Amino acid sequence: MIRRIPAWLFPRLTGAVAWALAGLVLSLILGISLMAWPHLSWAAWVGSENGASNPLDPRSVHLVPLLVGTAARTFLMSLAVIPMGILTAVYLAEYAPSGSRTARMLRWLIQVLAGVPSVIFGLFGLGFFVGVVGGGLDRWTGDLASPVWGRPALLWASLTMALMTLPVVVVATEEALRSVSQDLRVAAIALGATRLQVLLRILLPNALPGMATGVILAIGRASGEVVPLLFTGAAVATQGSLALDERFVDLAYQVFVLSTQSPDPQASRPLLLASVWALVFLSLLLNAGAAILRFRATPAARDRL
Amino acid sequence: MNPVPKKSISRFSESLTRRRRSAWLDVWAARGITLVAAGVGLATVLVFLFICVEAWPALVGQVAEEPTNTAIAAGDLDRVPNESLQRFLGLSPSEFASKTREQLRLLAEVRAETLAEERGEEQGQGGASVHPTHWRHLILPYAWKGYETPVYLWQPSGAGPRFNLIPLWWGTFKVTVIALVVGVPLAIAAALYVSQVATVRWRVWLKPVIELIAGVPTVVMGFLALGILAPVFQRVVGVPFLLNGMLAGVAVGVAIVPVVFSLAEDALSAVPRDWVRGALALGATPWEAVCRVVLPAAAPGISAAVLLGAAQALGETMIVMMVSGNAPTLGWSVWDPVRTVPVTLAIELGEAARGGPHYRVLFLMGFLLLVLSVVLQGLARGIRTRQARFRGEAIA
Repeated sequence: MIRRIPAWLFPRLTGAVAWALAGLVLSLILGISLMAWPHLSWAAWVGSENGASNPLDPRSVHLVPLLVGTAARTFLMSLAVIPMGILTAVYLAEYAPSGSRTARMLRWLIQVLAGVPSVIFGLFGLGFFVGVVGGGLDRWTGDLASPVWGRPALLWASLTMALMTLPVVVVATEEALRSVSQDLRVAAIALGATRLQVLLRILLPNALPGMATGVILAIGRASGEVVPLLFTGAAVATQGSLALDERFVDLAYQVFVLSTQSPDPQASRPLLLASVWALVFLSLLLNAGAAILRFRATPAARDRL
Repeated sequence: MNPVPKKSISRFSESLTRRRRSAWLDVWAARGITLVAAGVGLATVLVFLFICVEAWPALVGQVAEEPTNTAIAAGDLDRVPNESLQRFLGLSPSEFASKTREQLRLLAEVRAETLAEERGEEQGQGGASVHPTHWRHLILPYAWKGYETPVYLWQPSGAGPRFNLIPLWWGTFKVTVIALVVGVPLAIAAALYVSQVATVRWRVWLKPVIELIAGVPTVVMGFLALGILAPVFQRVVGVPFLLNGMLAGVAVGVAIVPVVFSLAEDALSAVPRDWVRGALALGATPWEAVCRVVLPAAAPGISAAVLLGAAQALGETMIVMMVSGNAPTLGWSVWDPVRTVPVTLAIELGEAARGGPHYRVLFLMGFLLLVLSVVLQGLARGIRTRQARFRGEAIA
């Protein structure tokens, strides 16, 4: 029966699907750019007037504050996730005794963490960071009537995101450390370098491109993710600030709010399109950057293709 | 090149460390790194443990409903602790703090009255009072007050909450299946083209570009499904609901394409080219070569890819929240609005009172979702590891 299907159909059919998928990405970039282009005026970025501050009035919301909010939460997240992720990977790749059960266990845990749905991190962030840690801090400072830390805030959102992106950084860094040539280590040790010197002068510099790829991917994933922010601290439009214990504005969250809960879809459409454009470009730039870096960094990747 | 075994190097460097007295910095660095790694491990365990602990009362059917269910008489206001009073009234701490004593007394009276009414209703039916968070009521239908026949009801807010999980899991199942039906054939067809047909020149571009779909934020996917796909469906199919399960399924299907594609392509590329050439030389058509040689040879890798795609579809929240209509329905039609488990968590967690029945049931669902996706991922990884061992490779 399979014989009856004409042979020429195979490359055409599969090719059509493959090219359609590739075309989908490109037309998406192009389409969003074209739709958003008329709305990307100077005023959309910074705004011309400063009096109005109604969060639901799209004319008083601008892209730059939204981007600053997103940048603040990804920056805080990076502060937490980069040292944690890299040190964990260094332990796994260099310091753990080979074949040790704890290292295998840790690696397994991190792989499992990579597969946890983002909404679960939201549950954890709200329950643990906001409820247990924040609530505990408030109880400690003794002001329960007006909680300071026991509410959704920038700090908790960033920490939740850090936990979510941890596996990306650990896996990429460990892979990069393992791909450093064994000869380099041997040579360094033969020259009398200590373990720390080998790590700082040989391993980390050589693994840098791989580590950077992981960090960029983590930032890319975090900057487009909204779900954990829903209960850990994103705020509507102008109600946010940049304090650690306050809610914050966020580009991705703004896209979600404007496309589902806008009171006046027609009026908010320009801002929505501009936000979508900014978000898509931010994510694509980060992803493309990571891809190029990985392509450059590993000759093996080039050979495989 | 003969690589020196890693073990001997690390032992050698350890002995160096031991011999040098000036290497105290080394020792402390090693201790610090181990400590951080241990901390990260603990934090990871904490995530799983915390979800489990918060879900535990619902899991064993012992959610504390007393705080909201036992009436506090208005005269006892000054004798009960503030916290239990606040829970009884269903207020947040800040709301509670802003109320005067008189307002609280009024609220307590009203609450006690409604509570007494509810009690009477439920007891009138089955004799004993009904606990909506018992497994029986989480899974089986029940003829609640006002219903003639037993129903599956998800109605978390209001005077008498009903927490039947079946409509939500049914919606999740529908969306996941539609997503797989849409996404997997697309991904595998594209993977076949990239691995078997495309020349190297094009492959270098095609693979990263298709994988770039994974870089599109899900909220943008939802926006596009809402703005472009929904009107198209409306016009072409003439669906009764603008937002429905099919729309969500198709959008999620596109979202899982890059994961499935990437892993399936790896598996398909690993099939030796000579096998295909041999099959073609023996007179097989391309279709026969693919169906009888390539796909069976790559079957473990492809099934791992499909499992990972399923895990992603199962946990997908943002797209589904934006386009599925979010009504807990139980019908067979794919054109009905649906409400999935992750979406329910995302929408309702913010409103649920901490430690209350609703909160517990939501964490129970989160726990089940977590277990399910960990199992799917574990299966996929198991298949991949076995495959790698079979081929004699080390998997990263």
